[in-house]
Amino acid sequence: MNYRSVPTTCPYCACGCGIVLQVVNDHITGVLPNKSHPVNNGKLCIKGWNAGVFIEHSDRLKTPLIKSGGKFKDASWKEAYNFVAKKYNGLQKKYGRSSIAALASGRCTNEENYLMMKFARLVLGTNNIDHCSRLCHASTVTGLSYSFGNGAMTNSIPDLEESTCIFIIGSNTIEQHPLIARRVLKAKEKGAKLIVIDPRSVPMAKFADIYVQHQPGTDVALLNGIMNVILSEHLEDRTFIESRTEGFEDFKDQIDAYPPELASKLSGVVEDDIVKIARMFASSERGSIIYCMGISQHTTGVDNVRTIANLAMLTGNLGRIGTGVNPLRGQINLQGACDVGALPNVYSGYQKICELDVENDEVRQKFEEAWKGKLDSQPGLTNVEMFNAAYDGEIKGMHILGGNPALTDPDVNHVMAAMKNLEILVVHDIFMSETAELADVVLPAASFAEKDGTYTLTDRRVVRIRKAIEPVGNSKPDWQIICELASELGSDAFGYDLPSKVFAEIAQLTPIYQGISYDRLENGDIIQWPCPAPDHPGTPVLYEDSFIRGKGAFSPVGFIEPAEVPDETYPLILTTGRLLFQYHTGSSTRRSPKLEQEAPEAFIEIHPDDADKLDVNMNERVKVTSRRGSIEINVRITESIRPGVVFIPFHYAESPANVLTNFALDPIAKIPEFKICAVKIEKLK
Amino acid sequence: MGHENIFIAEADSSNCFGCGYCIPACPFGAVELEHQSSGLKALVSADKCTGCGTCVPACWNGAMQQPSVTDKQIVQEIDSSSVVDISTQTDEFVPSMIVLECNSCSKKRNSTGNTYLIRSDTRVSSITVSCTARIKPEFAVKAFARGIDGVLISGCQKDHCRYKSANERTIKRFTMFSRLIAHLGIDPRRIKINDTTDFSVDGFQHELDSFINLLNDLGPNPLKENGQKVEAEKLLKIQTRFKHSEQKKIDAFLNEARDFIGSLLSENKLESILALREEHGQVVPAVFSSSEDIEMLVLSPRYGIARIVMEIQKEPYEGKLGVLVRACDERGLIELAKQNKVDLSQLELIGLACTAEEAEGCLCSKPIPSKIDIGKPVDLSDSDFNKSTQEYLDQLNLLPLKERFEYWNYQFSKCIKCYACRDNCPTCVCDTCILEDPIWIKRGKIPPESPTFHMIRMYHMTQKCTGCGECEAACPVEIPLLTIQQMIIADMQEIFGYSSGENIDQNHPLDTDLADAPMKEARQ
Repeated sequence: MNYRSVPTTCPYCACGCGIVLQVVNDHITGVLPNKSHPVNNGKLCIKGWNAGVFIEHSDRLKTPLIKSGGKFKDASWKEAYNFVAKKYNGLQKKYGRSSIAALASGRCTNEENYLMMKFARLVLGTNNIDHCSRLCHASTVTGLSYSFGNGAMTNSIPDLEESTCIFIIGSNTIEQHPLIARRVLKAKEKGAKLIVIDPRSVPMAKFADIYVQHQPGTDVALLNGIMNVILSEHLEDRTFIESRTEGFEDFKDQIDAYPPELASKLSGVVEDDIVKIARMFASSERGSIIYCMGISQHTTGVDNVRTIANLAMLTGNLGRIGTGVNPLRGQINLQGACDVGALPNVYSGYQKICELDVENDEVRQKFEEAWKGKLDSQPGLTNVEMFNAAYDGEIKGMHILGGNPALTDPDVNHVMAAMKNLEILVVHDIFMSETAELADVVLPAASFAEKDGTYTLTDRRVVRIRKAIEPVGNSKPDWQIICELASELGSDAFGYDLPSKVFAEIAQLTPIYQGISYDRLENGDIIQWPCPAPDHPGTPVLYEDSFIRGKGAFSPVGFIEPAEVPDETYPLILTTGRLLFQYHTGSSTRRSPKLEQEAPEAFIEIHPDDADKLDVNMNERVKVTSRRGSIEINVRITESIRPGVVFIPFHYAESPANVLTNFALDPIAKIPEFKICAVKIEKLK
Repeated sequence: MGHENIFIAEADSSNCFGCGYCIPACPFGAVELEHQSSGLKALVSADKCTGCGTCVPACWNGAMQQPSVTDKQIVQEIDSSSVVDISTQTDEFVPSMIVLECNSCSKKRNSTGNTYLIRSDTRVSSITVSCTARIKPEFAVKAFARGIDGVLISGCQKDHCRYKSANERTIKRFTMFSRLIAHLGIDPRRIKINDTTDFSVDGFQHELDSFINLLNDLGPNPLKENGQKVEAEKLLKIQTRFKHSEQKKIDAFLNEARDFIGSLLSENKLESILALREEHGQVVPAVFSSSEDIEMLVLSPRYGIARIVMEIQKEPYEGKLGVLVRACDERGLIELAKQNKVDLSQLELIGLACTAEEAEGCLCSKPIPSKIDIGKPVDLSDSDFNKSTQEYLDQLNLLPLKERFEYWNYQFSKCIKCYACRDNCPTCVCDTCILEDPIWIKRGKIPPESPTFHMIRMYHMTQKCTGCGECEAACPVEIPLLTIQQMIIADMQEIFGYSSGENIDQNHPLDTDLADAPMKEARQ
């Protein structure tokens, strides 16, 4: 018999649970939860249990495809590389190097994201490299970097259990990060207090000591009101503020402008609850803040994040176990893709290309020396900016590593028009996605079960994935595809034969990863960065003694309205998100029957009061329209949503929520406002 | 009877996966298994089948049905029952009930002209089936979930069943089911088995009245108040005693195990042995084929080995596969062999005894494999662990029903529907599952309907549970599932003297008649 167990990492959310692929006669027969994994301790959610199902699905892309005359034709790898190389060379000559842009991926490994960014910077010669973090936590990276000097979750997943008060805002933790929610429930069972703030009564709300349902987009006002109470009742942590922070006085002046009455008026949360939340959080021994896209996906995303940092500093909840500011990453390797520099303004480890608009020659030279080539000294375009530039004809070619912006980006009609406007679109994927359909060349990638590599989880923890079976059909791991394409384009800087060699280069060039190696990971170390030396144990809790920037920076932040507010024509606020049983555009989960059967169709959640006003019934099909487009979708009436607010999950190509969403961007982080746009609902004739 | 019988059963071959539980259930020997291209399938002989429907509840995934009266139809009738709506129209509590009665009794009552009684009583709705042995206890779960306060099962007396001993299964199934609901805090008196001989108007009216009076005293069915905010602080002082998922390494018999298994391999007594291997700091199940890497063998944390063997055996292999088993793994393999999912003749079991500490951590009273190759058996008569386990279980057993219900209601409210309690169970292996069937459990909702989801799963485990604790070990929200399972295991032992996974030739007692598996006088 030929039976193997391959310990690897679940490819879905950024909890990064350890799974054990079961392989019988070189086929995946199932998944077991890894019982010796520190993140999940032998437990998984339903997606984890079904993580093996899509791997050998008959829809897998098995050979490169080149579009000719509007139809895809099978091609050899050589033909595909040749085709792409010629096109890229031609574009570079005709329009210059910044005419091409690349998107890396939160579902690919650190090594692959690093190679994608090296490919963009060295081979394509442009800093036009970004990835889907732009759409979910760009504001976290920017906002927390400003406050603390570093844009990542400050504490660890297991350490949430030690908290005595958990403050969750804008995170549907049970559905989106089930194995983190588990820690919250355990803390609660040990006696911790739980505060949940969300416009939807998310499943965690029923466990909360205090749950409030605020108006979407009023986070700054609400949080400022809470901090106003903390200050007026003298509940702040004076010692922490004096010894660890700066800018308190300016911040305090700003907070004085947000008495609870005003915060209540703006957010729709009753004053009494604002006072209770302030007292409960500020008086707890170890307070931990969890947030997610409800905070980050706004035109005020950076403001929201800085406000959360303010709250943590005000109450001294940083640098200790059971405290911290804990943004939860949406995809398995978004943290890693950021860490290894798949961003337009930094190299790996957040080493900046420009410091306050001044070119950072020292860092650039380090990479130029290591990579033996000239690099562009100006930051490139972000994700949404790339599509705008493509729409305007400034970007002529795009290289997309396993993403599906045709469903995930805001205002997808605009995004698709932009992609159709390109002279060449190259997409790597394991399935024919909505985006791949638009491509000129589709490169069939190997799945997570067919390659080696590392992911970095939401709590900065570097874990391995391991090859369990050979790549399906003629597919190849993304790292290999990028290396071979680079070589076709004449570069000799991509001669890696193993992902471990790529990782060694990352460690060498990236101070926060310096001490991490495959050897250590193979020996069972699971290391959280920063890890500056091979004998360094890693850093489960950031900022124990000081912040990266020295002192933590309080930011005076005032309330600004969302980019699009309801009016007479578009009277409802649309907010979007994910479901427990599906994942992003569903290319994997919708091909997993046990997941698909739980949540097979899109719906719009609407409060009974609004349903009455509109005279719509449960399961009635309606038309939802925003200023950007319309979709048809079934109604689901529920009291769990705030009146005036509607919700659509964005998984479904049949009713794509992102036809409706607003591409308005946060001015600093350039993250779009997925969580708020104005819509109207009409009955179908 | 014979050919015009509308109640004749049929196995849906696309759902049947050949476990064979239906075979002993049939009092007439009408079901057999047949090898088809897609595997073993149950086949009902239309000549022998009398249409009693006893086999239907014996089929866990609903593949066996009476096409004229399917589960779906019955559930729809329960779900659309109007009795609840009537009882909610007044402020005062008006108990509602459902009568599930056998065709014979219904006919006899008809002959005395008293069907009108049930039809006219707005508190009562009724469903007629071929025989009470057709009634799945899951119907009672659905009735409670619908808000119905009591379930009256009306059938013939024990020796008067027209289908031989069919209705003896009814008593057995509902006895166990009543135990289960009591553990979960629902008063078992809400289910009544009525085996009347008095079919007169007055006699039946008296039965109905006395049950209604009882339900009136018991008050509203606690499931009605579900969905309220869960307050469980006071109950959480009852901490689960289950320790098996803790990550501590237990090395008591490790060297002995490495020596023993290493020598089996080096002396070529076995070519392949399935055990646990530690590599990259991770412990995973693995096949050892050489004594060279025997230093990588470890004994914990444990994985449900039986299910892994089932997956391995789906591909044919030559010779014997050695399997390092604890007592619960061995029971799991035997239960899978009973379901035709594992071929024991191609396995060589290597028995590992658990330590007292390990057994205590699993609330286990049977930690000794049938043959001990490695380790020393726990002295069952001496050790304190039975006592401490009993003390723990009694914390829940002695709680008033209302508090028990609240405790479990809180625990189930955490459920995120990962199905790990099922998917990690070594013996719960149907290819299709009624928990995924929308007639039983609404899809896509978390928590899933409570306690319906868990009650159905737990009831399905009554005869198959080996007490290994893999359900609880895999539960992301740490519902103390093993606690209930151990209570059920104790009930099965007490009522039927039955212990799952002990003997491959032993039929499941709920699916056989009293002669085959007698019932001891059960404590109420």
